[in-house]
Amino acid sequence: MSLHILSSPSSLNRCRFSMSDGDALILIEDAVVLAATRITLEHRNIRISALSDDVDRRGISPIAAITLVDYPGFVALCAQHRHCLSW
Amino acid sequence: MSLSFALLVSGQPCTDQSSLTALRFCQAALDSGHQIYRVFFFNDGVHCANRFTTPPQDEIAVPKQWTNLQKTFDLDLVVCISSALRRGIVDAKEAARYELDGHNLADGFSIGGLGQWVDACQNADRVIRFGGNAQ
Amino acid sequence: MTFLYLFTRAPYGHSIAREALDMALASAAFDQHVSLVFAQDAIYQLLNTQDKGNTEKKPHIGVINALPLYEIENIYYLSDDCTSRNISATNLAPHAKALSATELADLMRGADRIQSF
Repeated sequence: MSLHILSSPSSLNRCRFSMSDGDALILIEDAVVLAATRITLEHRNIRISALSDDVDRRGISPIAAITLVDYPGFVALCAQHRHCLSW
Repeated sequence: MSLSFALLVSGQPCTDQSSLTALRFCQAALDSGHQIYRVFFFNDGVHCANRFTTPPQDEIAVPKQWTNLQKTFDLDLVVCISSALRRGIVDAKEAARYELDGHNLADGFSIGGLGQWVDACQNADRVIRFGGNAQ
Repeated sequence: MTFLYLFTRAPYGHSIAREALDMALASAAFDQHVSLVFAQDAIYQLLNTQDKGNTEKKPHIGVINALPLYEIENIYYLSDDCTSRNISATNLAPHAKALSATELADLMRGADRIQSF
């Protein structure tokens, strides 16, 4: 199981090839703009989070499907996944 | 459960947010009871170690923030030598070797080879990269 | 340990493409078992048709062709990327092997360390 760390809006398409069912995704930095949109993924059971500091800093209103996490939450997500892949 | 993290910082601190993300992540990981095995500065991330960085007075320079964190937690901050030399980041030893007229490696950082990153990858529980995703 | 590198960048545009490859070489030099996947635009790193006469930068294909000397023999690209970019596999470095999406998932499952660049 992998955690995909997305830091720009274009990271989403770049990481798709490496995703598997049950992976998790966290939006940080400029990728948090995606939190306001509906993200369509080919895989099932993908939990999507966004880093609250970056969301708030940019004044973005995330859709309900996105879980907001703070830095300790980001660390916890990394601890839960064997591989953390940055895109 | 307490884990050890190896962090790769590869973003330019004045250009993208990633080095600040790495700093906050580092602090949060330590506050959560985890260990930081090593922070390795690679590619444009080596600019995080430039002590000549001089931002406006109301901003804290990224190198200073790393130096402070290093002092507090005795972190192992290693700057990749091949990335660093290409970008003009040198300590006194390298400055002498290449006959440069100054050196700029900030306090708390050391210069090392990629072998130290490979070692970190082998020994840490988690490997996480920050930055280097510019289009 | 098994180190898997997932590359996604075309050569030349950003130094991370070349420096990440150096990191992979270092991993092999320090006795790790290394596999490289050149996914998406990174497939262009494997193209033999790069202009080698341009002297501004060292030709990227040079280091690609030297990978077996560093005992890196697991060099892959994804069949889908060939198709979507109109690339003929005959123009790719001869030691690179095609990988299906399922085979990639297996490779990722078996890796101790995965790094993406």
